[in-house]
Amino acid sequence: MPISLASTSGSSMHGAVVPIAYASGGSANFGSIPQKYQDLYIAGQLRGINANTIEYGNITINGGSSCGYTYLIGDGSSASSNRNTPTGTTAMYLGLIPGGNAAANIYASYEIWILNYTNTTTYKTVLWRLASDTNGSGQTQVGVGTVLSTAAITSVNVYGSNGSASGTTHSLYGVRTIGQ
Amino acid sequence: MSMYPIATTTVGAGGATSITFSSIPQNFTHLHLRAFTRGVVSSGTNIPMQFNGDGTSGNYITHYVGGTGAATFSGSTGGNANIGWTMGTTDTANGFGASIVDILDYTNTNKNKTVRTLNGVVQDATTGTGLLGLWSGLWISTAAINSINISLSSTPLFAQYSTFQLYGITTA
Repeated sequence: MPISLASTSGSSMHGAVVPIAYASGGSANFGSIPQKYQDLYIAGQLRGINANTIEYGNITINGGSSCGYTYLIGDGSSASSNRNTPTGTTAMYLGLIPGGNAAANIYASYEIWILNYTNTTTYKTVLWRLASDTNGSGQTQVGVGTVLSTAAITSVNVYGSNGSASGTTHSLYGVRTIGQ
Repeated sequence: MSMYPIATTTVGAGGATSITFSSIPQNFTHLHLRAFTRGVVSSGTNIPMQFNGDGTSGNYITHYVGGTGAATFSGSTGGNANIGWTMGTTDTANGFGASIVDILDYTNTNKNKTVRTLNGVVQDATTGTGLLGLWSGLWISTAAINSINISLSSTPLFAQYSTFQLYGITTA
């Protein structure tokens, strides 16, 4: 049967996006996430610390739940799509980020959406996009991952594979819906 | 800019053939929609969206660029403003697709309406095989949007626990 919903004509006018936590430098190891929102949203800027111009950015859920993921990349000369590799199946590949040897003051920008994160019946779906440019090379990436667990998400970590540089920032938000 | 919840629904045990948001308030600048979907359908089925009860096929067009985890592709389709693909019955159990959708300037009566979507489904979560895409949709109408209908092609069902949330976005 179809479901029809009349709007609430103006709603409660309480903002839907609620700041939960902010982290700078190092990793964004957000723990003890409140279980009272519909979705989670994370936005940040990320730079690695390894001795290369590029490094991998990663996402782990609940300390490393198993996951499968697909991503799509454009690097300025071609587009490609890959899955799971290179970071294994307990971390999702956010994309390439500037490494410790990249030009100073350059950071990748990212957004992550985690839907229905408190539902204990469904697996969890994560969407992300990342923009990274090192003034000579770069990439834009979107990705989707499924966390192979019905457990509610209580922690999320976003980090460079060898660590995250000073100036890295991460902001975690809860997204309310009607009645929350 | 602030975002406010307008309406939400979660599909119950019997499934749902379509979701309709009606009487959409006209006091926001943009609309934002989040869909968490699984269908009782073939894997990779499109999720069509239409506005104001307009079912005229020639009034809609969709373009997309995407990846499967092994290859990239791009294409277009008419008839609806699609918001991506949904998970299907042969896909990983308990898995759902996700769509993040923006409908800009939805009350403007001088513009046709444009929809942009980021959508992804991981059809086989053990291998990562999926469908991931950026979508655009055009509704060739200058009418203000006052209702949204979301369905699955060939009229199958959205599965239980699929959720749809509509938000309004202000500029101030």
